[in-house]
Amino acid sequence: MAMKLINANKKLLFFIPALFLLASVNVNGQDDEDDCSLAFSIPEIALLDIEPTGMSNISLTLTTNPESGLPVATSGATNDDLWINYTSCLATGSSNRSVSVHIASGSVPGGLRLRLTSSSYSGSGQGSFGTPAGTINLSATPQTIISGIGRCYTGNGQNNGHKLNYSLSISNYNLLKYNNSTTIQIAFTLTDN
Amino acid sequence: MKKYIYYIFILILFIPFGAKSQVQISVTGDPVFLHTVFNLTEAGSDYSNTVTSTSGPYIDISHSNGLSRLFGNFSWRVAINKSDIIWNSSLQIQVRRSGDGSGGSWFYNSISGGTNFQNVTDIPNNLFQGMGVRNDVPIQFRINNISVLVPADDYETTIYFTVYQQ
Repeated sequence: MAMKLINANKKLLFFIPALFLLASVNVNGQDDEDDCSLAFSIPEIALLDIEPTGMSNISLTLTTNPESGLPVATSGATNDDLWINYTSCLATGSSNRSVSVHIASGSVPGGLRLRLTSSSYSGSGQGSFGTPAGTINLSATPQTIISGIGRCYTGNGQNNGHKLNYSLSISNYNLLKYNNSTTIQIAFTLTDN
Repeated sequence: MKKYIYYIFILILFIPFGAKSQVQISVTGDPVFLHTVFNLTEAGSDYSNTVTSTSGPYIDISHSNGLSRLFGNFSWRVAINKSDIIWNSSLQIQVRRSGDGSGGSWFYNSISGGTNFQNVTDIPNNLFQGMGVRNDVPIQFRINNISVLVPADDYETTIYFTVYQQ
């Protein structure tokens, strides 16, 4: 009886490793696959500002010429301190954008002409920048000053984007009034074409 | 003696006779990205170049064979590739495992590799490997070269994880 039990245990000792071996042998070579979805969105964006931020108020002054017979001095009637920065992201197939400008409040005193010129792009940005429209006479009617803006960013701050040159000149001496100071608010808008 | 017979019976139950015995992979969840990276407020600036997933997915590695699951006597490696649905070639996906997960076998529990970000391409590349059952391995994705220069769109690609028996 004792011998039989020993023999039975020996068989078990054989079978158990055999089962382990079987389990090991039959697991070769089968692969499996599963997946997940990676999704995110890049949104369209249109941002514009005038730099330097918080210092975009400028003053243009016409001064009396001390010499009679000479025109009014315009040396203080120009300014090119300001820059226009923008960021534009478009979907495929979307039209380019443009920047328009108009006088949002106030008006240019009679006999004067306020002109704005945008320079070509310069700075640290990348992409498809807009093309300046040249010099325009500012009015209450929106006018395009930069066109053809694609996907781009100009870089932030002064010396990035398009330099703005304002100039005040006399269009009609007959309409000039002495000490006729006024404040004009000028609005820039980045729009889809 | 009865005890031995009982053990043998239990062991036999673990063996899937007639069934294909294979290592198995299960992916739970999709990567989630914080979209605050796209909340640009400063004109002239670009989007942040990189966005990293903040959660998911998780990977489980197992085996169809009960004994193999129990003892962990199987080696495996996980490879990753992608198949684009809507994508832009300038966008680069990188992946890593951001943790070890937990082992689920008695004897063999290991995981190695894949802790540094590596590129995900259309061709399968090894990500990490190990032995035995492994649960809840966290996977993190990173997308590079995000910019306003890339067309605005809803981008989507399918990420495939393939586990190979070693």
